[in-house]
Amino acid sequence: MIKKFLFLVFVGGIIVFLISLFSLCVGSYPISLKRIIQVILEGKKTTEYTIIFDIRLPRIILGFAIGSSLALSGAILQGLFRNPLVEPYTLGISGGACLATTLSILLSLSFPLPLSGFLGASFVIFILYFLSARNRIVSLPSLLLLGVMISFISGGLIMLIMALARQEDLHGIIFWIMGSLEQSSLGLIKTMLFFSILGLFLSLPFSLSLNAFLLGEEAALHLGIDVEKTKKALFLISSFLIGCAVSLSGIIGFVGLVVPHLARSLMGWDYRLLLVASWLLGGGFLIFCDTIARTIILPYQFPVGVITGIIGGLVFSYFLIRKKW
Amino acid sequence: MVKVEGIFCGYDGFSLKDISFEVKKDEIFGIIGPNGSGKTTLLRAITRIIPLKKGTVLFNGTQIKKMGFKEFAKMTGIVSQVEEITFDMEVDELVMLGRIPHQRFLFTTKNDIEKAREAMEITGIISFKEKYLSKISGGERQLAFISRALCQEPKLLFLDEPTTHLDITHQVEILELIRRLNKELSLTVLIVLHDLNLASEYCDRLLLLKNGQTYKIGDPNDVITQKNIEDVYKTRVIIKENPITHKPYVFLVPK
Repeated sequence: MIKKFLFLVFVGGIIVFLISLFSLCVGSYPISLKRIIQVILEGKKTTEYTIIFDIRLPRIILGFAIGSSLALSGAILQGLFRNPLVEPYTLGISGGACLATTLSILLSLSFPLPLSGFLGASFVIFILYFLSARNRIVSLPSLLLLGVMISFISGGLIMLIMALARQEDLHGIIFWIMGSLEQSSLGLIKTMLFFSILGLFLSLPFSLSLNAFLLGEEAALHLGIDVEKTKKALFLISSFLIGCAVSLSGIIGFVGLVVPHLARSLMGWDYRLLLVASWLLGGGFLIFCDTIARTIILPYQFPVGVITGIIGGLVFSYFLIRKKW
Repeated sequence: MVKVEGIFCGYDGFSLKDISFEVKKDEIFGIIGPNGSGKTTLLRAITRIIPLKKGTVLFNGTQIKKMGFKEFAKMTGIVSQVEEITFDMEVDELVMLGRIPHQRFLFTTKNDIEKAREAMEITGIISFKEKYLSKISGGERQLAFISRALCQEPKLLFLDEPTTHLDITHQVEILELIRRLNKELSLTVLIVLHDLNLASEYCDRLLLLKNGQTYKIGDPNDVITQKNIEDVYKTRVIIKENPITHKPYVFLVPK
């Protein structure tokens, strides 16, 4: 198992590195790999240096942080709810973030958008947790259904806000909802990467518990798992990651649903490998999709959510038809 | 080995009332009773799924609610009525899940692999250990789940109607296996059974439940009598002796 784990980290790391290099090279201003090395060695503030270090690299880091967080949350939630169709957005946390952000745009609040999104997400996490926990026992079916209901309610309210919004605000709302990795604050990007890594390290100790959860809550308890503690901890870790990711980049669909399935088909269901595999694959997948989104029809840039939806949907269908899982 | 003292528990309008009994070391103790009499609820209470309102359950003299979850799982194995899996897996992978109480994070030791192999050899499923659970029969699946429980190295095995939905061949196969585990591995067994004749044949002692209360505890000859069964099940029966095993055998009398 340890050999497999190390092999996964090594190979996964190399793949993410290669995708990142590819992403650094391509764009409306292509830069060759050789030139990138030269620019790094020279260290001069040339135009290419700015493109690489101020535009493309932060975007790659953010792509990795968001993709890995969403895929990790998706893998955790699918295991926790024993439902292969659960994804980060099923719980309504993204709905809360979206609603708060659209409200912020509509009311022209001076709040930074990520902060509004994060407050909205936190509010939903709070509601979900306390409504679904009776007698200090968290009911997973209630949690899931409440999440779906919150998604519907926030979806309806967002549409209402869009109907009331001014033309110039409407454009901002739509683009934010479609998801984008354009984030100018390097501080926020670093924070997101830190949270993504922290999320992985906090969830890894629960990998055996998640394996036990595959057999159901009762069976997990029979296998010596403190079921309530596990549910609470994993819900908080995954919802916090989702909240941060959505606040920063809007709704980037399919990563949290498809990537855990892809990782499962490659590495099996064992969460000791699946969490790391989903984390690496999610990060790599989003960097790749974002590279496509910003280069497929130059000089235009598509919202990355559109590309993840199309590529993710196609890959998912392909594996489903081949019955890989 | 297990001492249940005056427990009260339940949910949604149903409750177990003042149940007390003791499961001795190395015996096969059966719980029988009609649908809704509280058999599964009792098992769930003993295995800590349902909290007790009153009373205590002692395992080797220690209150189980004071034992850690892992500590309890290292000594007991449980096979539930309906075992489900979300993502399909191979038989040996399922069995290996039984090592979770003994494992630490990423480490699957040689001992874990050996214990899983032993468990599969005992139950006779080693030949199809690489088959997916979705591709094997109901009886084989049940054997796989029993192997998973054995892999926990339990001293006490809880089984909740392990022969439900199985044909007579598999019913006998499963119960013969349980008897063998009881004799060869000194495994104490607490089993909930629906089939009175199987309970009579394979259990050393029986607890007969009626409406969440103890109706009778004792040897199958004392529990499976015409009066007891007719009173609890409200069905006419004739009890005869099995000519080979000399255990009581229940014949139904149609209305």
